[in-house]
Amino acid sequence: MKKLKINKAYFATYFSIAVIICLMLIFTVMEKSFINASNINNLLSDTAPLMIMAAGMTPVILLGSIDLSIGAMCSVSNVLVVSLIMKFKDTIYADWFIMLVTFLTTLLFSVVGGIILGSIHAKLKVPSFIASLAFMSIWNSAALLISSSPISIPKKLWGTIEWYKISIGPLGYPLIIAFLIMIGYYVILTRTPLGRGIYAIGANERAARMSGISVDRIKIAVFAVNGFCAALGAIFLMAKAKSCAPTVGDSFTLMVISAVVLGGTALIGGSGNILNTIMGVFVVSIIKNGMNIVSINVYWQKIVFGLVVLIAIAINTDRSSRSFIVK
Amino acid sequence: MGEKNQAALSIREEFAAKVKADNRREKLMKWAPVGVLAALILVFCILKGSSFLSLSNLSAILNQWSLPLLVALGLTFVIMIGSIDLSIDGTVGMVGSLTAIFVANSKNTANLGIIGLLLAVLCSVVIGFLVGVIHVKFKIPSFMVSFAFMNICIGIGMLSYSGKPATIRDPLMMAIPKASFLGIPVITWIALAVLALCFYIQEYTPFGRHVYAVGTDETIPKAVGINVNRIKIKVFTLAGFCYGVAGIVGALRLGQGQIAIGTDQMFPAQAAVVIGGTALTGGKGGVMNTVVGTLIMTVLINGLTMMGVNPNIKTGIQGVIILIAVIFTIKHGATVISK
Repeated sequence: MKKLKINKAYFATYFSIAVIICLMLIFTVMEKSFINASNINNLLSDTAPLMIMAAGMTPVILLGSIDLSIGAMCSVSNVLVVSLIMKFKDTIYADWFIMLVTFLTTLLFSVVGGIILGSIHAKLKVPSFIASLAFMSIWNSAALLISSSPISIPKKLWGTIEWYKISIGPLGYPLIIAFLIMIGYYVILTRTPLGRGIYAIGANERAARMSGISVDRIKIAVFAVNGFCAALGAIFLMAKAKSCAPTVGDSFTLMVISAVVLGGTALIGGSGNILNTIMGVFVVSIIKNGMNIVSINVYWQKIVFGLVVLIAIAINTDRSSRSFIVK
Repeated sequence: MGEKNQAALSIREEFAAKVKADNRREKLMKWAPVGVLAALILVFCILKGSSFLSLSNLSAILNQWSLPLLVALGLTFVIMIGSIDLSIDGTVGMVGSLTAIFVANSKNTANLGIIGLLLAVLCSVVIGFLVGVIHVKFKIPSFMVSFAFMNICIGIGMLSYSGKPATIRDPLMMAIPKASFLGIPVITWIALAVLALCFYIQEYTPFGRHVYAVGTDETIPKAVGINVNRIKIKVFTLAGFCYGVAGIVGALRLGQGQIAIGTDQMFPAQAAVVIGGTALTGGKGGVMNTVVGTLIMTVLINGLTMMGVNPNIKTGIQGVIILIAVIFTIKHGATVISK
């Protein structure tokens, strides 16, 4: 039994690596410029926001829950941070101070948003997909209310977001932050009682509750961190584009879920490894980047990611027990 | 001995009282949506008076009501079996886009007329069938399958006209949205026809009964020998049909085929079904609940628009309504597990 489990854990890693290699080969054959240095750089820096959001989403799915509001949360944070910057840009404070305050405010907002969503899910027993679906509409609405059209950051403040371009070797600063968050979460998940609690809740919530794990508190914490990650991703998107848009996060929900599921995390919860999510993220961002490079119609991307998430889940779902009811 | 009798009697009384209270509560829950609708109409009558009750506004409400009703009818069956369908935005938009391409239009030479409409509906029926089959056979949660299909359908819809929406040129199709019969817009008649069909299916066919059975407790119909999987696939296919008709109505009303026809159709429908009293856990509610629910949502949106509320708030309000309705109708307690 144990042996089977280990094999399965490795399967997801090998499978993702194989897929990544195949995809790189296919795209290189179709378009040579896919493999050149500037595009690889581009790919790596584009991956950071997705990676951070996937890091936040993995524990949510490990719980057996889901958060469909992550894209909308990303949009609203993205708009919020830029509109705050615009509000304070003419004050006497130093630019870096304005940036710091707006970033922290946005992150605080998203954590509070995550706590509210987590509380409604955990305390009021609303299934996470419907609670987060409702929050998706609420955040989308909020984003449009804050700013219904894109805003660009004025040139005089560009200096304060230059950090986004700093890189060490081929790895950009943002991607390193994303990796650090992934590794931090990995340590929490595997080495701390909180992490074991997340796995226990995902595997069997009733048993977890009976063994004295504070289920509600853990759930709320996980959703709070998920909100935080969405906002951090949004800040990265802002720094990259030097502007904001109220719909910027829309496409991320599906990509993030695809990445997590491709990394072998089961939707029913309790099994999966967050480091595999890194592989899933690269599969997703290679597909996205590659389709842009070989100039496939952008509308195809939605179709492809829809299919990718279905296939990934179909591969990962355990269908061995016939009596298991899926709603 | 007497004491024992006394105890038994009091237990019996207690039980009877409990049943009575439950019945009363159920009755209250059953009529609560109608009360909400009446209250809403009253509030808007007081606030806006004659302009809310004017003939043109009532006709507008009936016109606005038809699309959410069609969508919500399909969704009702899905929610009654305890599943959910998030593909609506995509499916409705896709059918809307395809409709304009199949009939006489400004973009290509196709002129299939009524057959074009049937083809467009067939597309969404196939999508519904696929959602059902993948959900059942691969045991993937329905919200995930339908969420993926929402994106797939949006992609297909956008590809079909790739940036430049087709305008409908078929004279018959152009006349439909303006026509009315007995003072009620023809589009509303179409919705009412589908409503009658759905009501018939729910009340007078074995399939309709099975839907309730599957929603209440899947293991029981399975034990009796009903093919639960087939029921589920049929439900999603029926839902696909309803979304298809909604897409056509949307395209005819707009006179153009765009993916935007489906945008923001899901939340009102979801809110309408839940607020009408069809529980997300399945097995409860029905088509008539949805009629009341969609009327509530339509009147609410119409009233808010008349009051000049920022349109961007509307989706947010729908989200809040869904949350509140679900919180009120869902089972609470320490032992309940929600994922």
